[in-house]
Amino acid sequence: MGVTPPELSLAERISQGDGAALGELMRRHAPSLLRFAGNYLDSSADADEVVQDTFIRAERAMRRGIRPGQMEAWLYRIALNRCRSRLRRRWPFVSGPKAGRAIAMARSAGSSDAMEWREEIAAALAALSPVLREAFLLKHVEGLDYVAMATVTGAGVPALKMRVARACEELRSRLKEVRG
Amino acid sequence: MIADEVTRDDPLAAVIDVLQATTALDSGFADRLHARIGRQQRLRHAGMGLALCALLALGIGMPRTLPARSPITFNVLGPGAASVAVVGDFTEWRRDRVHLTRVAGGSWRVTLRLPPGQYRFAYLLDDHEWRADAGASQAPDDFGRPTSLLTVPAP
Repeated sequence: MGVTPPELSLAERISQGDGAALGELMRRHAPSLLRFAGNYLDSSADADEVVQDTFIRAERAMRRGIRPGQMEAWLYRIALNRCRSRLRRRWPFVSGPKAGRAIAMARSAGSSDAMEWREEIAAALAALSPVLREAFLLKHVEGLDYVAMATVTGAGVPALKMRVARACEELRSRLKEVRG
Repeated sequence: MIADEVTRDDPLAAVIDVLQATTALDSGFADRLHARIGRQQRLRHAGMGLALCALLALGIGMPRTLPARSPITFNVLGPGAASVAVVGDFTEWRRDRVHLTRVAGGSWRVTLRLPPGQYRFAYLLDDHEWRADAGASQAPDDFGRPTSLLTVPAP
C-alpha cells in the first residue's frame, strides 16, 4: 500500500491532461476495482458504471490539484462510496433475478455445478450487511491491510477486524447450510 | 473470540478463490474503459467548444450557430418491465438520466430533442436487461452488450 514515485508522477501527468497516464492508472487498478464493485454489488453492469465513475472523479480531483497519499486506498475509497450510494438507491427497488451477474457467470462457468456454486457464494455475500461485506472483500479478496482499509472505509482498525471476523463467521455458516 | 483470518484449509479459502477469480473474466476492461472515457471527454469538450462558439456569436451580435434539434421518439416493447431507461452517447451512458413512460400495449416511450449527429444507444429494462432497438441498425458495444445506432439528420 502507499503511493510509489511512479504513481505520484502519474498523478502529475494526469492532472496535466495526459490521457496515456490515465490509461496506465486504469490498467493498474481498474481490474481489482471492477472485481471489488462486482462482488459488492452483485451486478457486473453496476460495477462497470461504478468503476467508470471512480476514474472520472479521480481524474477531476487530480486536475483540481489533489495528490492522494495512498493511490490504491484512495481509489478504493471513491469506488466504495459509489457502491454505497448505488446500493442506497437500489435497495427499495430490488426485485427479480440478478441478471447481470448471472450472465457474467454463465459466460465464465465451465459447468452448471460451478455456476450453482458461484450463485451460492453470491447469495451468501449479498446476505451480509453492507459493512460486513465491504470489510470481508477488502481484506480477503482485495488483500488490503487494516491500515489501508481504515483509509478506505473511515472505520477504525479494531472495528474492521471485528467486521471481518463476523463476516467470515456468517459466510461459513450460510455456505454450510447450502453445501452441508 | 472469533478469527478474522482464513487459512488454506478453511472452507472460506475456496470462496475467496472464486471471488478473486472474477478478475480474469475481463482482463481487457481497463483499456476499453479508457477508450470509453476518452470518447466521453471528447464529446464533452466538443460540447464546451460549441457553447463557447454560441457565446462568442451572441457577444458580437451574430446569429446563434447552435444546431437545431430534431424530436426523436424512442419506443420499446416491455410489457413485464417495471422501469425502462434509454442510455446512450446523449446521456453519457448514465442510466438515470432518461426514463421512458409506459403507454398502451406494453410499450414504453419518450421523445428527446437531439442535435444532428450519430449516436449509439440501448434500452435498459428494470435496470439490468440491455436491449437494442428493433427498428434501428445494431452493433454490440465494447462490453458485448446489444446497442443500436442512430443518425439524426440536420433538419
